[in-house]
Amino acid sequence: MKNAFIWSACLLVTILTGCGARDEADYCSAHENFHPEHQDKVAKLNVRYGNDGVVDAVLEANHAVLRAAEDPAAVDTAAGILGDVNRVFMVTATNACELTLSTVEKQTDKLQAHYVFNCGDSNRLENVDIKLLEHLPLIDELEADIETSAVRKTFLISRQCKKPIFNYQNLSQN
Amino acid sequence: MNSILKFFALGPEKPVIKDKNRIDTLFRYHRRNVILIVTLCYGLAYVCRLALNVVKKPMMDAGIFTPEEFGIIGSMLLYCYALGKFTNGFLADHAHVGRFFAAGLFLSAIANFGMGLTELVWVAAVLWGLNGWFQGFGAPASVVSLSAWYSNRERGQYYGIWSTAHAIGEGLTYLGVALLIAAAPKGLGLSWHWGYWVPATITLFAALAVYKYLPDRPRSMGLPTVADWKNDHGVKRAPQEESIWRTQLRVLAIPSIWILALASSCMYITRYAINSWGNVYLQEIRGFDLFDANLFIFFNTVAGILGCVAYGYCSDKFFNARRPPVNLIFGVMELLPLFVIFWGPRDPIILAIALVVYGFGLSGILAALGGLFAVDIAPKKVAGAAMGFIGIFSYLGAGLQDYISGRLISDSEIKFNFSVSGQDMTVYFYDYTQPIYFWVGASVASVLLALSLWKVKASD
Repeated sequence: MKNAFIWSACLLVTILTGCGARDEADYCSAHENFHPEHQDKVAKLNVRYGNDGVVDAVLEANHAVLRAAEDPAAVDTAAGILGDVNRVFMVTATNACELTLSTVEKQTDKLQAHYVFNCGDSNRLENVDIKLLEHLPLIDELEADIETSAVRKTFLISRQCKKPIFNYQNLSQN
Repeated sequence: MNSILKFFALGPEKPVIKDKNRIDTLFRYHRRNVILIVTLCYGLAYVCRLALNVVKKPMMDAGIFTPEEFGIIGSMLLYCYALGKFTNGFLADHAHVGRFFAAGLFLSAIANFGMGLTELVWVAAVLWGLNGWFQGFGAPASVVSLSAWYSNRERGQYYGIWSTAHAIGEGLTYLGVALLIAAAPKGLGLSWHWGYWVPATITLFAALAVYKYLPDRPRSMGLPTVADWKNDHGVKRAPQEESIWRTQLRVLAIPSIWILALASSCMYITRYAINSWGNVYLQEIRGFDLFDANLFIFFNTVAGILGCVAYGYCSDKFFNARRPPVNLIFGVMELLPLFVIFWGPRDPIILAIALVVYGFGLSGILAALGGLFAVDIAPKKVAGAAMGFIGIFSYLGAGLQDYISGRLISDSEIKFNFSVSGQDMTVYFYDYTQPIYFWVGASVASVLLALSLWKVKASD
């Protein structure tokens, strides 16, 4: 009985290690090893949704992200796209939300878009559709910092990865 | 059909072996096997019951099932387990327990293989419900086996050893399954499917071990009863003045049994809330990774082993077997840490300590509400019926909890959808405020209900 169990355990461990999905150089699963190299070329999205029912979203994309050095018109093109909020940021709640602010500001070295939706404190937010990467092809990666009244999550959305990346900060380098 | 029934039936009694040395050898061999097999294999079977709790978060993140759907699936197991404990208790009395238990393990393993193959909620609900019923084979078979092979004066200690099986199983689940699917370096990074398939494979081996090594009753093997072998006989009962069935029905007319059933049901809400959703809460809201979240839940299950033992010892030694004062102590030990866990400082060490104290207190008060106190209150000859009645209430509470919790969590869902090259990546946000009020509120209700029985005395 003892031998049978030992052999079974060995077989199971062999199968598992053979089937393991580890790929040490994988850009997505070990992104914290790659992120420091390009973190200054990543667009940043900051969204706050509080108990007052206000959705406050700020997007920043610096000129390096937009590759302004290669194409000076890229910033204006991006600004035009961001100016149409319905193309890039849509909010769905149980009842309609009111867009109370939509500004796009061209700063010295970056572009900043700021949107504020007032959904009301008795209105339940259901979906937020963000099509920034869909309409701004120059942005490869988006660093999202989203906070609701219950929880805050930070993650990356990358064109090269099928899933959001949550552990992208290598804490030993901080 | 007849041959299947015959295969599983309790074997006929055989003439007792004459050679006393042979009897002693066989008893020692089988008794060793019984305690090892029922403890180890019941513990292993637990992994096939709890695996869903560990794979829940990865599956939710992948958009396979919503929290509400998980609530439905989880509650199916608990309702069917409640039914299974009841029906299988009757069946186990008439069965070859080794084959009966092995069949339950085998079928539970098959259900788990199926769970790893489906992304349809109705299929998962049916499979998980069936799994619940198959899981209900284990406890009755184990208890029947322990009763057949250990005599009155020694059965308590062996029952205590067997009782550690659920903690073994929970530990294997929260650490073992987490190790499989947590991302490297803490885990192997396997997909969620393996969170079902590996426990299923291990349970198949457990089924084999039970089939081969868990024996039928002593009398079916040509051995005397354990009472005769140990010369440890119980009290001879006088002819009964009323039938056991009538007395069992009278149990339902005892108001304190109903209060106890309700108290246990409320406590099971909290118990299964932490078991089913605790690790998901730690990942979703507190930002733990999968492995650490399950490790912390494991702390509370380990503490539970000590809580069971401590409750019985304290109530007998310090309170002269009076349960209500100890119910209060353990109830407070269970309740106060919940406030720390959900509303206290976000320090992981404080959280770990709170989970340990919570687990210790919970196990103690569960031992009382679902066991000791019920046996005290009910007439002794129908203690089983009282415990069975409370057991059904408890698992109904647990099942309702899973659906209600899943529904409350689902209702708070906010989806952030990112469109990238024509494909959507979704990140889900949940608010656990309402479920937490439900879980803590149930614990408060349970403690208050148990306290209302402060003056209830034990019956004969």
